[in-house]
Amino acid sequence: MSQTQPSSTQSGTEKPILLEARGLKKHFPIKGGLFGRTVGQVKAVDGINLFVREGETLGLVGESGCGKSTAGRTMIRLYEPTAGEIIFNDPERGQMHIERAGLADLRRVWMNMQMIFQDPFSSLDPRMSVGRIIGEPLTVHGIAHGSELRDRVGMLLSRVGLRPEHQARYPHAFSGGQRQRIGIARALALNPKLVICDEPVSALDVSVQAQVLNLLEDLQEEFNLTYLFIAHDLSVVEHISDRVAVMYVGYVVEVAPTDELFRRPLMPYTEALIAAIPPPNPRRRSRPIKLLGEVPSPSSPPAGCYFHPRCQYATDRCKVERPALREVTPGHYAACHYAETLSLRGIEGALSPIGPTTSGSVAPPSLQA
Amino acid sequence: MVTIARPPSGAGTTTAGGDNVIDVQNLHVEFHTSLGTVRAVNGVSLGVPRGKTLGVVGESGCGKSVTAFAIMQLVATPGVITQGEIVLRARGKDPVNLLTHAKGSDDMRAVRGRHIGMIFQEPMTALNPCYTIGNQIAEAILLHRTKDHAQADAMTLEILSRVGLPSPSRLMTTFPHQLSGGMRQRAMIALALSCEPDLLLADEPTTALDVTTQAQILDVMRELQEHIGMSIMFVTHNLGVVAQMCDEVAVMYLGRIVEHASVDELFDSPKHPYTRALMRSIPHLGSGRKGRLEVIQGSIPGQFSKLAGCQFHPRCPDAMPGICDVKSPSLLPIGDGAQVSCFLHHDPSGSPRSPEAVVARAQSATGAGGATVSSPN
Ligand SMILES: Nc1ncnc2c1ncn2[C@@H]1O[C@H](COP(=O)(O)OP(=O)(O)OP(=O)(O)O)[C@@H](O)[C@H]1O
Ligand SMILES: Nc1ncnc2c1ncn2[C@@H]1O[C@H](COP(=O)(O)OP(=O)(O)O)[C@@H](O)[C@H]1O
Ligand code: SF4
Ligand code: SF4
Ligand SMILES: [Mg+2]
Ligand SMILES: [Mg+2]
Repeated sequence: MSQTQPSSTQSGTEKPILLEARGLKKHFPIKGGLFGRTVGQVKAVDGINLFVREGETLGLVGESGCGKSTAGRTMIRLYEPTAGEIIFNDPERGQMHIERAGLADLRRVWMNMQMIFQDPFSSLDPRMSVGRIIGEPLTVHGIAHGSELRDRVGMLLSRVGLRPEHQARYPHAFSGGQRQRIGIARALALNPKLVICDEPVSALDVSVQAQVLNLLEDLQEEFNLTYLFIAHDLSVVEHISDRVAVMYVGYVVEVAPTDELFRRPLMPYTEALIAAIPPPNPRRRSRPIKLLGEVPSPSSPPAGCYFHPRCQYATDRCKVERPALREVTPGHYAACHYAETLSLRGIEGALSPIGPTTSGSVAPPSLQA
Repeated sequence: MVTIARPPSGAGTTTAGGDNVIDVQNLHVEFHTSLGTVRAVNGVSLGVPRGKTLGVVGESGCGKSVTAFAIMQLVATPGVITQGEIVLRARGKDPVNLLTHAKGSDDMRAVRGRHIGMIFQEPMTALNPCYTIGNQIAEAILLHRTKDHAQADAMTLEILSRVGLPSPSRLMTTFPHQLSGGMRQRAMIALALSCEPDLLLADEPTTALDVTTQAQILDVMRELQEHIGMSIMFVTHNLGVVAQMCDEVAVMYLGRIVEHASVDELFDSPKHPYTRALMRSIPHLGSGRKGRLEVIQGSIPGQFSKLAGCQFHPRCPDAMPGICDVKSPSLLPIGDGAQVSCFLHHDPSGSPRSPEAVVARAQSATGAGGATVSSPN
């Protein structure tokens, strides 16, 4: 229908696509009434198109509740998808459709794709020793036991900056940053190809955050890992990602290489998101775009473009026709009817310095239709 | 497009006295727990200039929140204020040391709400789930500003529309749980500001919010500050928020202020080695993908540990053996308005070092100066 996806056999020097979602949906039923009948649907993920290339870090950003975590979980079928396709290009076995994979295939998927969670305090079972937590994937898949298991767990611990003898301890004895390292060690136990990092540093203090980000980058290089990196902190995402995807109310609205996305956004919501970041420089003044109203509920999104009630460029067409995610310039995808004609403000504009000569001279972005 | 201009920051740091709305001197707060004593606030001195915003930054657990709660005399048990002075200079009132009021006294209750308001990261800390938003605000206004119910209702509507809440009249009958996170945050701000306090203590009021909502809340705070001329003590982790909201900044480490400077000064030339390392460990938007971040070596010592000398010395790349691990530096003015607690910037005797001496010191301590990149933990 739309030219959303490059074919997986696309030529050029780009790395092959490892995981791809096509028209992926995940709706959660809303139960209500006397008999617990389904009275509605939370459209947490509502038809996203997204791919991750081998060895890259794809950042996934968007406001709380926009469906980032649900998208990540559904892509590795921790949630059953409502509709759409999920294609895993297994380097050894070729293409696999995750959405209809049987149990044996799913086990293979989960050996290749692991997840790291946001909350280092609740994501580890407090009754399990660190050794058991990290070793569990290895025992479940029957890969190692006994002294071999202990050795591998010890190696993983030292690889994430902890000590092998920490195996015997329990999670409560560790700080937030150390617990996040334990979660990372567990995710790496099976030598996965892709790791979905769901807000891995959001709960950490700034200095600890820097340590964990560095660790993730080192491990990526060492093990040729691919990351889907979910976060709401745009400066963290800018730091770590090769490409960035933006979500709004269950829909991917823009995808581009990191620098391109921040400097030349093609979708008005991305523009507003970037303009809302307070520049860490007292001599530069922030110039947020005033967004009207609130983020719509994913159980009753508006018609047409989901962003239209808040978009300063919306036209009548936007109220009825939902824009598809399309490749506007090579490698830059946007879901906006006017992506070609709007001239939106990126990070250079947003971070322009204060000064009598510049303060009023930046023209507001306008529709050059 | 340009929103509100930040007024040019004042001529550097105000020390005790001057026109500070609040002056905290040598504040100590301890928590006596079964495991030992936590010295959460260990000699903090800071002042908030009238009509201005002081940012308070520092890593988790360094004592930012406890300092704010101590100003309100609302430190949770088993915490006790063991030393210090907190002088409030409310408009049209004589200066008063709040610590001469008993915690539960009527005097202290009059200070809270009327002269000092507080907002939190989690709005339900301040909002009562059992009363409507309108009721709670009208109640506070009736307590402090007027006895006339109709007038209180009118004032309530005004403050609700001022914080940008749509259809304020409906909020008179709306309960907190019926609002979205961002709206609840605005309702809490409306409650804290309903009595037009002299000082607003803001403890990470936007940390849990999305950037677009944060931008709206910051806008509201600036607008209200201009309107009622209040001062703000703004606790935050976010350097962008500091840069956009604050006139002065106090940097805390392990229960003490290690640096206090104007916001321009702090961003242009951070002085304390901890401040410098902290600012470098945070990814800055616009710098692009740039490899490894610098990290502060080591980790924060345990909360019961007692350390001789400068509290930062085990992690400091510039530490001078024989000085920093023996003597404890005090927060002292260093000439250009800033105050720093570090022997690189003043002699152990207390006199400021010349800039040349500072540079020489830093170079001899590290070889090249500046923080070193270290392996985690
Ligand atoms: N009720 C309490 N009992 C014991 N110790 C406490 C209590 N409240 C705070 N502390 C301790 O006091 C110190 C300072 O805590 P505080 O909450 O002020 O930190 P903070 O700087 O606000 O951190 P954050 O950035 O995480 O909010 C910490 O060591 C903390 O563990
Ligand atoms: N298990 C679930 N059952 C019902 N609704 C859910 C569930 N998980 C998420 N949701 C809803 O789906 C939407 C997207 O949630 P989520 O993916 O967690 O967002 P994000 O990670 O972007 O913050 C939200 O409205 C959320 O309340
Ligand atoms: S399609 Fe219309 S409403 Fe949607 S972002 Fe583009 S201009 Fe705005
Ligand atoms: S006093 Fe010494 S240890 Fe402390 S910050 Fe200064 S140089 Fe570092
Ligand atoms: Mg999430
Ligand atoms: Mg706090």
